[in-house]
Amino acid sequence: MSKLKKLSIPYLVWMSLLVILPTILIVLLSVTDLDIFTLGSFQFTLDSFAYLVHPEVKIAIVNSIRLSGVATLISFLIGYPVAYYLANMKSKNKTLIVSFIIIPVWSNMLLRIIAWEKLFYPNSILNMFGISLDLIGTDLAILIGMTSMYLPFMVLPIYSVLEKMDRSLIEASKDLGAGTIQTFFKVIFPLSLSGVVSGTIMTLLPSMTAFALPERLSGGKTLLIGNIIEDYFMKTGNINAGSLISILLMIVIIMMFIGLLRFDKEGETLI
Amino acid sequence: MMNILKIIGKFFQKRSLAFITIFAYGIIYLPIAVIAFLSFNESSKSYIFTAFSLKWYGEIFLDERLFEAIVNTIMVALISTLVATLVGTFTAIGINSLRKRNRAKMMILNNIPVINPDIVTGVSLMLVFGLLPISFGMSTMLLAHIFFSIPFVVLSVLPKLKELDLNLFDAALDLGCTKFQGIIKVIIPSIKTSILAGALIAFTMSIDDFVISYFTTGNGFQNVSIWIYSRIGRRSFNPAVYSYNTLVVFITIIILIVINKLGYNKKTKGMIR
Amino acid sequence: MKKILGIVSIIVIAIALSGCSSSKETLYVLNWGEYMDLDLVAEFEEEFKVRVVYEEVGSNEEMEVKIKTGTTKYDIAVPSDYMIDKLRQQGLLNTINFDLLTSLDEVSFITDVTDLYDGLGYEPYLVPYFWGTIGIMYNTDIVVQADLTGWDVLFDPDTTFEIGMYDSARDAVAAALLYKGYNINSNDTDELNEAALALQNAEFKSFGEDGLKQSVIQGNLAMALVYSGDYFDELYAYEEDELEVNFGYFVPETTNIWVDAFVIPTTSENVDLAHEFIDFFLREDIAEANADWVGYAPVIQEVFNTLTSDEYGYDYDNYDPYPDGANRVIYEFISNDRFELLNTILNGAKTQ
Repeated sequence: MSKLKKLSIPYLVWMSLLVILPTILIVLLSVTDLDIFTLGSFQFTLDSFAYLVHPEVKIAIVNSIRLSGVATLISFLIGYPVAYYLANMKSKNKTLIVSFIIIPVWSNMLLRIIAWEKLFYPNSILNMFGISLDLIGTDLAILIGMTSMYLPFMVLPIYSVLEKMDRSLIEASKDLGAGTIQTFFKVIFPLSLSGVVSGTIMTLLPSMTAFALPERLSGGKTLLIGNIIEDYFMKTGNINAGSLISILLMIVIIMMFIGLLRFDKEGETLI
Repeated sequence: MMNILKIIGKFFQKRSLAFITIFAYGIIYLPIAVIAFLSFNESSKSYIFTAFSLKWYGEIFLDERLFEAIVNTIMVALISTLVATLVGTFTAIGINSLRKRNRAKMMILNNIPVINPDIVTGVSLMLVFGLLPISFGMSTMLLAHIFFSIPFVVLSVLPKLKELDLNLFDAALDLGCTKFQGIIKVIIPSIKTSILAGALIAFTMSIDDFVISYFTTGNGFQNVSIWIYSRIGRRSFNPAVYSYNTLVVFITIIILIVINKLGYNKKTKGMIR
Repeated sequence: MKKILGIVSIIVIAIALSGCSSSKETLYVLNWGEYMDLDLVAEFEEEFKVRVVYEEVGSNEEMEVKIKTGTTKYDIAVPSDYMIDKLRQQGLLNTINFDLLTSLDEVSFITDVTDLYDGLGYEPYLVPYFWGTIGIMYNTDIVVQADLTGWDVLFDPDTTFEIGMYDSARDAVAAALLYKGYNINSNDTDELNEAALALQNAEFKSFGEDGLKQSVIQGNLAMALVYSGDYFDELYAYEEDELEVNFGYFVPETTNIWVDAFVIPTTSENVDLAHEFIDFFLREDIAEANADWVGYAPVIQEVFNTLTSDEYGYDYDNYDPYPDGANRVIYEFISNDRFELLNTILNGAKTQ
């Protein structure tokens, strides 16, 4: 068995180069005035931290947490019943129906965002059906968009846990006199928690850090933290402040991840 | 309290569950339906449907930049999936044979790209590639895609490897196989479905990626997502891209139905997991 | 399994190889969206037997970042006046060797254009390309002439119109400064604060870039701040398709005038070819065809005359960015701090 250990060494080198090195670089950029473009001499400075109290950054952080939190909650409230229904479905086309939930991922996400954007303007193809929406710039538009994009990632992990669940436990619970509801809350739901956790992570992370979705669906008016990072890196060239926000975001997300994954000792049930 | 439980109980009745499921599929599929609808629109104006037309399907091949972007997308997805699957599988075999402590450490490293926000991964890679003596373009985008795909292959293959009885491998060695032969003949065949599932995830991640590609490309090398992003609202936004997208979805559905009909139920289950 | 892998690898390698068959010289061009007739670029490729890699961006700042990151070694970029000054001050531009631009023997630039940046210190680094104004594009089904009183129409907090603002700090703040009656290059804290307040109090439906004009035409916006060319671009498209034109362009008395120009960044590894490229677009016939395609006002006097003659009929209102007696101000690069302040102001307006 130990004969195979060596196979993991190249990966260790590769990952060190592409994970640890840039992380060091980002940390360095965020606490110095190093100019990434010229890589000359640099001095330590906490100037970048001043950006953290910029109103736009504060608002973006609040927006990110609020919108991704609500979108994840909605996805859970819709996704759990869907996963439950699919898992208990008795159809010979069950796998096909379940697979259909993942197909949209093959469709380009930007295009799907644009499609929502087009529907949310008052003058749209929906006028053909006598409908006129005016949602651009509202939170609702962003929430619908996020739910539509990330719901499959909530459904699938929950489904796969429910699907594998040992039926005899449910029967045992019923035999012992528990009602359907009690069985659900005392047996099924606790056992499906690992799926809920994976689903939450898979929905929360991308929605929290999205930048094209809020940009399109808010008419450029709602900034999330991803918009700030993109702005600093690609538009204003403020790499040092952008790095600081990136590294903080990374730390927060890894902490959240570790917190949520207490159930999972080796971090292997991510997908 | 009982009342709430009753309401929840009602909620979990089959009919309301079915209703929610249909609603969920609806909200997921609506944008795709809109894209398909627009792909058949004779007018290039997206807010008005003038007449049914297939002309945008022909345009896919006439718009050079778009066609190039499509070819680039598929090429990057194929190569990165191939490399990531090979490397990921062997790496997973390696990780699996590590002692528990080291394995956990490796998994933390492995999971960083998975949980790291795309935008941070993209920026990180851009910074590192900027230090290397390579020019930005296909090579950097490819490296980036391989980078974010491998962890998914590892995650997909590892659980299956754990179930595997490695005594079989040792037996193969005893019978005179080399290590490499042992892996190819004993280990790989028994984790086939997981490898395939990992490859599928890698391919899907690559073909749909925008953020990481956006930060790691250069010198005019575009994939479909970048093509779209740089043309939103512009005249050069060719509705042919709707047709391309509709075709991709259509082909995926067909493949799925065929696989289902052929009865490879096991495999599709593996893919979903 | 092996077989499948084998086949896939062969296909992949075949595609990969076919992708890099050309070993021609390559010219990297960084330009704005819809700002050059790509058929003419193809003609250039044909004539000089080179490959042109053409990239589009939406703002001067994006252009600056792209040149600085060096992810692409651009040979040509087309930033605006103030950005050219900024790039020059950072040592990112090569001077232009005007001796190589032989087309200039045949044509001359409009003096109003060259006067704009004369004496500002960055003349040796640029060859002007197009010029224009910022103004208000409006939907004529919703807005009537009488509504268009000046910059105030964009900033009325009680407006009944759906208004779009350009997602560019400099232009948005400039419009607000003009509305308040100040100079667009003002660096006065009080004046900038007033502008910031005006932007925050205004009721903007959305912030956008190239998409604003479409929204105005669709009636999803009543009006929006745009560049002159945004309007003309749509106007020509509509005239060509013989569609009814339901939009107009309004330029208040005082506005910003800008000049976009070719520059050669120091990243260029092919400076001579870059000069050839610029020279190609200075040829009268090429410049004429290009101006006809792009729709902005050309900076070459001969081309401007031809286009506004009966033959082309580009004698529209506001086609000439700088009519006699008009009040026009060019942006100046003042400082990085001011630029960051403008961004903060715009982000503040977005998130209020």
